[in-house]
Amino acid sequence: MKRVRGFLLVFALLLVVLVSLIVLGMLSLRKASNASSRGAVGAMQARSLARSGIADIWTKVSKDPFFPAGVGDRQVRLCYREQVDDAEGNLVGFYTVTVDRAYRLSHNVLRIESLGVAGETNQSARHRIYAELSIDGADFRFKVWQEGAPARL
Amino acid sequence: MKPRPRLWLGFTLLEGLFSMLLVLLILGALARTLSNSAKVRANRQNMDQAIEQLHIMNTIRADVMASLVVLEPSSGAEVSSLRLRMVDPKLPFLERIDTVNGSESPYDSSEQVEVRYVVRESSLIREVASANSEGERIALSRISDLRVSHQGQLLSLSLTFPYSRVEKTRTMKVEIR
Repeated sequence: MKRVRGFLLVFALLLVVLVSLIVLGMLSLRKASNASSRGAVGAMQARSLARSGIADIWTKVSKDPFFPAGVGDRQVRLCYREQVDDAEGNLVGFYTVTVDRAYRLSHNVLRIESLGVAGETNQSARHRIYAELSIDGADFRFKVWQEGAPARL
Repeated sequence: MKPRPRLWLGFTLLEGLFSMLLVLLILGALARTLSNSAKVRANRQNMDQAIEQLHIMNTIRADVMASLVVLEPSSGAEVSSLRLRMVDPKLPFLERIDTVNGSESPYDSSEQVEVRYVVRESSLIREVASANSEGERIALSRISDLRVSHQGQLLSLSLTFPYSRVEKTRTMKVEIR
């Protein structure tokens, strides 16, 4: 007796399982690489935010050497934080600027630290820049600039 | 003679067609996933390259901004290296203004370092030479050419990155304050 056995449906189902496994494996690999790319972009954003903080304090002090107005010389350290949004109003991150004015009169130097944080969570990328701004009228410029510096102020 | 009875253990035509459809759907999805995956990989590679280029340019820019003097190139010249003199950022401020160790000035010449960018063996090297401590030498990236020109208060840099298929040239202008 000749027996004709069907195999196509079984083959198709096996193929479904095999291809699903391959696709799932590829998706998990892509997830890991996407996370790595997001981390790199976050690091660049944090760096740009930290630079924005330094540019912000530079602009403020260049306009008003006694910035912030109304604060006496006894307060040598001040800190402020600004949030940065994109054009659509989505949060990009924020920067925190710390200014040490202790050597403003004796050495004509403001010590500045700017911490850029991309995103809003504790796991977000961070970048810190330490700079020393010479506020000597004839020589108003940064004289020390250290990227990725440990906290100094 | 009676014909032998056939025992049908297979599937109907409808089942066969359905199986074929399933196979086609799965293969189509696989082709699409592979194609997207290749695109994502190419984009990610481009982005990684762009990030590396940005990182290097930001590093050079930060050094130029912190420099007290641009030693090379001199004004009006164009060369293939960059030499700067700056305060050693690793020295704490209080140590720099300590009169016991030297001058009260936080920017005394004994507290300065010389930073040099140069291309050696197709790599961009950042060298730091200091009178007080051991120098530093870091290879930043593979690079085929570095051009630096100095016009007035403006420093123009052009870096050429060699990649497997194409060379990418990036330029940057930094104001010397």
